[in-house]
Amino acid sequence: MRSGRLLERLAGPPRDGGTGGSARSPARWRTRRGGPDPWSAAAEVADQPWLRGRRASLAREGLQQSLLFPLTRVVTSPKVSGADDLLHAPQPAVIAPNHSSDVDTPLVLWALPRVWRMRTVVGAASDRFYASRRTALMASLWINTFPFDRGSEGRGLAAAAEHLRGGSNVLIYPQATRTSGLGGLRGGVGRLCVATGTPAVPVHVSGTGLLMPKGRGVTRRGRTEVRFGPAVEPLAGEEPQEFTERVGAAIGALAGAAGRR
Amino acid sequence: MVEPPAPSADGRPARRRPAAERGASVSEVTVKSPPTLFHAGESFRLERLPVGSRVVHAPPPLKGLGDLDAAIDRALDEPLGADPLDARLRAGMRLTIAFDDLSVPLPPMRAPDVRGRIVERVLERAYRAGVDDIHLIAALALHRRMTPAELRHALGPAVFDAFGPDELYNHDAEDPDGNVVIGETDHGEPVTLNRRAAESDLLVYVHLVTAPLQGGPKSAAIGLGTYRSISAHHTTHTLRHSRSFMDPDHSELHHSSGRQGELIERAVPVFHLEATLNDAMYAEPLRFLGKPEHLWTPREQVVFAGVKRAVDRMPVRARRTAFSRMSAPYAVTSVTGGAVDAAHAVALERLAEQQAVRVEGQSDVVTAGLPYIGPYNVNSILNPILVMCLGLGYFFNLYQGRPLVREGGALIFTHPVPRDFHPVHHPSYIDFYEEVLAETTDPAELERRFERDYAEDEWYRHLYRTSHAYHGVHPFYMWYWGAHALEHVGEVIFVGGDREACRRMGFRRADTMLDALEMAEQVVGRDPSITHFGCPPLFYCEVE
Repeated sequence: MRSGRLLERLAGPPRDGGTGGSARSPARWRTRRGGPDPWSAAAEVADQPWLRGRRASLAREGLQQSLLFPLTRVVTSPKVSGADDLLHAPQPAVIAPNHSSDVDTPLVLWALPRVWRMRTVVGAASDRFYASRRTALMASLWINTFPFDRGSEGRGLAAAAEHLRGGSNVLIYPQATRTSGLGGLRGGVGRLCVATGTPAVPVHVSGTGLLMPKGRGVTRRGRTEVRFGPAVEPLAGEEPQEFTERVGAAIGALAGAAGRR
Repeated sequence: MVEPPAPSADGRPARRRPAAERGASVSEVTVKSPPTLFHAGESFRLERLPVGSRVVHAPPPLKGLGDLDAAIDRALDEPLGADPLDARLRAGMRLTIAFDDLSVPLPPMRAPDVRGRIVERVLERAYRAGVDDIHLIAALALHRRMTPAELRHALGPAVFDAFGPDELYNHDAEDPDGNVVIGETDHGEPVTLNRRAAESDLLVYVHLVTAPLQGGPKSAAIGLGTYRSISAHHTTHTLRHSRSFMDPDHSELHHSSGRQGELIERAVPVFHLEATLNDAMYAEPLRFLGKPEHLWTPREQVVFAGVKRAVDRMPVRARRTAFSRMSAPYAVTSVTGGAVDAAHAVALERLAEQQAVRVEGQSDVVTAGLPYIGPYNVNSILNPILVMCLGLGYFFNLYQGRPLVREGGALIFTHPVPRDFHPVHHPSYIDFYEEVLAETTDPAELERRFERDYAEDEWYRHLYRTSHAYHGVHPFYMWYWGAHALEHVGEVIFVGGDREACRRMGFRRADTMLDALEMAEQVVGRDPSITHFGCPPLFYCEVE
């Protein structure tokens, strides 16, 4: 920080006298640390619920339709199947795509029917998208995110469950991070759906890993495909791991169907 | 070669403790540094420490558990070193649930208090098993009785309405029929226990661990004990040999009370539940008070200035009321259940993740700002003896390894040390201040000459049992709490302290921090090394 002398001038001297702001006060503050700063590692920005309000949603829809989605379509030349079947599927649901690129999220949001998209919040890794206020605001405004804590204590799942209970669809990636292939499914989606009794919609996204690989920007344009499968309902007494495996199998089946065509 | 971290006590991989890494949380004062915040009772001071001083900040608050109810269920269903709670409950049994009193956490937790959340889950299981003989006891040792409103806050309105007042009550350490002798340890320490707890088929003890001092085997021995058993280790000798009492492995207090606890464990089946909290002790708009000053935004600086100017102009009573209404938005970082040692080890690990800060070397002078609240003045007044206990007892002892201040060094605190006493809560403190401290401030001497008279005084006993007074002996224990510090340091100075109160307690006072530092130089020598201990929020130093 930044505004050196202001604090001492405003606060005044101690209650019982003594020195207040002094001529020694620096115009700007600078600190010298003895080691790594634990505060910088912990500096995650809080959720921005005001960006899920009605006006913010309308602004988001405008930004998405005028800028984000046209740009996404230009880069990805997408083909969508199965989206119309979602119109009759129950909401709220967990939308569970495979994940290989940052472009997956705008692509899946674009591919969703509007009645689904308007009710969908996206779980964004809090350690990445909520590390600064600017990225948090941008992510929240453009793709309607909430901070998803990927730690082992289940805070991210608890936040997602809260959104499901509030009637929103939740888009989270079962692989938790960008991965090539369909392996590496974590148990989070299974635990979330079994705990809340919510169905999961399997989604297979293909082709995006080549256009915008992990750690790089858009490298080229190309063709992509988004396939939505029928919702997978948790069964009575089903273990989260079993449910995760069923969702993984459903995504795999969508990938197989895409490969056969 | 870097050794892999040892696994946690609950078998999980050890977690990283960023604040405990060398030099983290420590900054050096330069000409460009911001002023340093000092708490001073119900006010604040901004002080410019000499260039080269160290400032040790509290670590940032950890994130809380995502699903507290699930964590409580896990602690009950998968306890460490014990059978699940359900397996120990049966119809027709006598079940007693004891819980820590209002001395933790500080400030009180914003509702719902985690004690209530845990007790509710235990009660659900007890009802399911057909248990209907259930008592809930506030394990308050020799502290004052909790008021109905405080019990309601701790346990929630549902539990309070269902059980109070017949089956939800305060432990009475002076009830001749309400306590029993369990035996004597092999060191000759008598062990007494609340009769209801002693005669129960199962005692469930709900601990709130907010400092390494708390929880573990000593809790039942102290919380549900009597003067007879507590006086075995609340002595000048024990506390001088507890180095520190925030380091259970090197604390004579823990060793002694732990032996008593072991005897209780052999006599009564106990299921321990220990919860730890993060350091989020300030709610908005004052949340920034928990951050290092250089991270305060311009808006937060303006808020601070406004709050400081406002409280500086408020009358004392209004200031106290405003501060005592503050509650903390703590998050629960762990809930562990099972056998006492196993559950406590995990709780201490989780606490260390939040509170342990590694500091290199001792200092000639340590400064700290004492806040408005300590464990024994919740909804009350921090009188001079409690100020001494907070500074020389708690703040000084918040170390593991070696004290932050070197032997013969100086401690400088900021606090007004007002000569105010709460007449209902602290009646024996008034007499202790007027009679005992007028004679001597040596802990060993006042223990020898005066303790028993105060402990066995019928009027204090009556007030403890029927009013909301701390036990007659309590001010003595507060003084012993600082016995190690009194022996260790060469000078104690209170900046802004009341002249008469400081003189009565044997301390010096100064008007400004600069004056205090000059006074300290007369004791520790010129150009001393200075460390500011930036507590609160609560943390402890691992001094290398």
